Amino acid sequence: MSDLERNGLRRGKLTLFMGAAPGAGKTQAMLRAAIREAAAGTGVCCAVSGAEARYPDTRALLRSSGLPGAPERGGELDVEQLLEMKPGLVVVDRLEARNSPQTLRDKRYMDVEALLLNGIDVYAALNVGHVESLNALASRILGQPLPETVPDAFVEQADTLRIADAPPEEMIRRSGQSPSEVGALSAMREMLFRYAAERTDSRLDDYLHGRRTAGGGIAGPWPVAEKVMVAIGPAPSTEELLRIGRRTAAALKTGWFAVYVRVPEGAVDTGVQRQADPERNLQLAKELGAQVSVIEGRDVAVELLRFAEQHHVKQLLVGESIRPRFGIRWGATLAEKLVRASRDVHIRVVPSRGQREDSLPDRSLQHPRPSLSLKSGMLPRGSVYGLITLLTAVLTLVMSRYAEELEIVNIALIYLFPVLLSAVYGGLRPALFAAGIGVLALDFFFVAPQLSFTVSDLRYLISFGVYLSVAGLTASMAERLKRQAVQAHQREAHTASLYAFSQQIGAVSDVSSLLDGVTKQLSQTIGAETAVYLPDESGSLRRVHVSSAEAIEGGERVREEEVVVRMVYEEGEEAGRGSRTLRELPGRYLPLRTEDRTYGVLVVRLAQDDQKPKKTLTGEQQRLLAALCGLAAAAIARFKLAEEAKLAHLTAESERLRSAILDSVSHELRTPLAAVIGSATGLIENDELFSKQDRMELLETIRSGAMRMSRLVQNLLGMVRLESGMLQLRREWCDIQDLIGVSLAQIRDIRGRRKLTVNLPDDLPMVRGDEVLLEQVLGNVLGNAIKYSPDGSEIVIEARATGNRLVLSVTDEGPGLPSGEEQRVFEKFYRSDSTRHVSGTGLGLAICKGIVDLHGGEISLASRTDGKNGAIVLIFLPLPERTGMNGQSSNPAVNDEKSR
Amino acid sequence: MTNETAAGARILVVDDEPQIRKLLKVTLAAHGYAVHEAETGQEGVLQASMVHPDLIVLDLGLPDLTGMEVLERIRDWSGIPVIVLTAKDREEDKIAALDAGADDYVTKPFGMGELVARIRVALRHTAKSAEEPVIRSGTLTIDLAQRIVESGGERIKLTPTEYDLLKALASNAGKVVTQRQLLQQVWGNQHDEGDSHYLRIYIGHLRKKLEEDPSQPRLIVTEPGVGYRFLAQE
Repeated sequence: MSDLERNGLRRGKLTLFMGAAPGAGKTQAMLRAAIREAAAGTGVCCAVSGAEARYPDTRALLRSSGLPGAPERGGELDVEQLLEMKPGLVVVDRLEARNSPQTLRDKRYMDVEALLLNGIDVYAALNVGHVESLNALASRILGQPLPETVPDAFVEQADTLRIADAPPEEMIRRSGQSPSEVGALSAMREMLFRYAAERTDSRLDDYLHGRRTAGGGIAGPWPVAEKVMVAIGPAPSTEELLRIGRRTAAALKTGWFAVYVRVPEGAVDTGVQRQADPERNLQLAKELGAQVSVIEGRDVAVELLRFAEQHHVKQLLVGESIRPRFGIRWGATLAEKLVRASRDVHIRVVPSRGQREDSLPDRSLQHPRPSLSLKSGMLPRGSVYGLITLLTAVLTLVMSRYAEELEIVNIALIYLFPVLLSAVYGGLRPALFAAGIGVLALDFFFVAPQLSFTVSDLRYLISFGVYLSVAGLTASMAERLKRQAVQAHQREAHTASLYAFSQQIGAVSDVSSLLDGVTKQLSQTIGAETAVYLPDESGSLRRVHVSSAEAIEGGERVREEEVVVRMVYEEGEEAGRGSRTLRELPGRYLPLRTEDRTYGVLVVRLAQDDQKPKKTLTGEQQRLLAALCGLAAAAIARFKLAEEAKLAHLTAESERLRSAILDSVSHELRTPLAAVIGSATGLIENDELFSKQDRMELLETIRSGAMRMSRLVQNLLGMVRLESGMLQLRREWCDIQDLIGVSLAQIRDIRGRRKLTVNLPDDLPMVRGDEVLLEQVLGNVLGNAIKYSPDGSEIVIEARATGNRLVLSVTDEGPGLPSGEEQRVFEKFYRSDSTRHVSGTGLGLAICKGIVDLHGGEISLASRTDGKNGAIVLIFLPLPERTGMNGQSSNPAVNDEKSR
Repeated sequence: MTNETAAGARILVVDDEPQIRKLLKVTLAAHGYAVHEAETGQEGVLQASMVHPDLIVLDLGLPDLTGMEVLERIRDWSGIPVIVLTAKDREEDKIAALDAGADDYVTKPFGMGELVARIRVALRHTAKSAEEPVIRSGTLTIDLAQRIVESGGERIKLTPTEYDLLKALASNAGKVVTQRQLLQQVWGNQHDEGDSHYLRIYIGHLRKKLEEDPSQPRLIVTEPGVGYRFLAQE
């Protein structure tokens, strides 16, 4: 919540008015409190309608209160309008109520959550029986179902809990219930008080704990001696077990574990009924605040006890299904094993409630996983039995012909064929069925006396027994194998898809396409819309990727999403449906995080359909989601790290550049300035001291100093224009010979006695380029050649066309270039150490490179390779395609004219 | 023609920088010109109409009117030669000014010798009323009446296009001629951008025929990005 506040988003305060049962007076208490608030100047909106206020005195109070009513839409709270109005306080009755199907959120407490998220305080009324963990118990006490519940997590986030209580008689009088309910009402009141006390205690506990850790004291929230653990099974009866576990833990003011032991398929006798999908129960355990663990192990009892010992659990709750099933399982139940094996752990066995509910789940749980029992391509159940019967009948028919020759032993063995076949293709039940009719047929048709079920020789009964057990064992083995195969296949597919995806992630080169891949993959496999939020430069989260484009909905939903996304981002904990916080939201919000950082938030918007019940994610989907989020986060982290490394490099580089600029510019500006100022002042102040020759020399110094500064300014400006992208090429046809001529004219003053040789072929083609800039390049290169080569040496300028490029080379007889600096000399402000004594800014070649690059060409500088000292500069310029525009076609025209 | 005929000519300097004005005033006065100054474009236009100078030196970067506007206003009523001062890297400004009727340009920072030479050339062109029948430069003579070009007494064969080009350049001896002006004068109105390619080829041919060293031309020099200049050698 503090995170919300930091972002200027205050979370509203929730005050819960709880009562034991209808008639306790909670609505009245709430209204009175609201009236007081209104009198104190708070903007109150009252969403308690006359229809909901059941009792005359409450209605009277509501009428006389004068509280403004809250806006409604379709008989429900109009949250959107409320958010517009931004009242200080909203008063809501019957928090557990279910909204009409057309509305956005299907429960009223979700509306309240939205209000709270948007910083609006809420007063809400609720009977204790509607709290989820107490609901089943309350229903039993009151003897009537209380269909609607509010999750414990929501109730627990109430900032203030206020209790409205009245004597049972008073409640009965107001609500008009029968006097026999007094006992039940007392029980409910007790439940309410205990609940409130637990809540108060846990607050106190939080407080003390906070104090202690803040003071550097003992960390760890629970006293070691008192931990509770619930063994989760797949059956729905576990739900009750979990609720009991939660109450126990709450009563002991401690945290609790919920542990599920996953038995590897194919492991022998597990002691529990065949493992169905425990996902629902794991989910519930999470929602009830348990620390959920799933461990793998062959022996459930041993694993549970080991876990208990490791975690200092003192109390272990286990359900006991009292169902003596006929079939192949025997031996001790889990509870019995636990009791036998436990040493320090107290085992509390909770009997499940009756056979009816217990026998139901097995069938209902098998339905969602038809793939295990009915693989695709298999026959429907009815026809399997038909086929078995048919096969047995045919066998019987055939064998009865040769009964004499075959002998009874062989006949019995032949009857195993249908059993084996049905075990392989049909499963356990068909196999047992086949064994049954096989035995019957054997008995009836072949065992004396024939055509009767009576058995004269009782030794045959042993044969039958052996036969049946062989059949049963084979069938169960076959089925187990098959199930393992299916499961392995599923896992393999899952792993393969993850592997493929991780490959894909490894291959992409930017975050954007990576996230595209993630959102697409997820929306395909989960069938829900997904979106990714990433922080931008300013740190505010932006939605950057959505799996489908038309995903933008109304303002309230988006706003809500953004608030939650920010929360998830800052806390690094997932939220939304199926997680621990904000479960009432229609989506799932997962942080994309690695160990130390959260990089963004992935939102899965689960489809909200009015007709169907709410969609939740299956365990498989959740695991996939978690895995993909992990992969995506790791990939983003990789990109971020690379980016940061690059940035750090750039920063260091710009640091180096800045100091280089300062050094170079200050030196290059100050030196000529000193010369200019010195000479000029000398001339002004002591004119008569100088001879005419001295005066000319000083004036020449001024001129050359100024020229040097002019060149520097020119270069600096050129660099700026290049770097700012302001430099635009004015492409024209350029005659290289002409350019060389201009450049040579430019350097006439500085060439000294150096010999300049120009070797150009007559048919040198023209290039397309900016004449002025190319001349600048050539001038710079020639200037360098002169600057670094001794007077009297030779400088050779050559050009030729090779393929689609024109190569221009300038060769001097200077010291050349130390190897390893071939690239660096083109960096801005770079000066080779070997030539520090020659003045220069280190800009010339950088500008040359910039200009040549703009022309799509290349420039290189290296030491001569022909054995002589010196450097060679090569400039490659692209030649235009040979069209009618170029030399070939125009030259003949010129030649024709010449004939005149 | 000699320097002395230009002496006493009135020159109007339009520049907002006092340092440049002072420099020009001192040096041009030393060369015998009468210098008038204007600080702004408005004042420049006004002075031009009042003083009736023989030549105007116009800075293209003025604070009020752009140099181009001043140039256009002056060209509205007068053909006084105008030399524009520009920054080095503004080729498009130079071309625009030249095509708008400026006679020549000088790039800042400039040497005084260069500026004075430009001024002389510009003044000389206005002084001569009609085209002279024979243009001379060093050993080169161009007889415009007979379309004969001789170098060192030897007749040089030129194609009609080459001759037209040479004539266009030589009759503006000392002055820069933009590529567009050349194309206009030699090829007429039908030329397009791509023809600058031919222009370069013909310049190359001319140089081969006229220059001692075509790679270091002394007669027809290139003003990069702007055009060509025919240098008359005394």
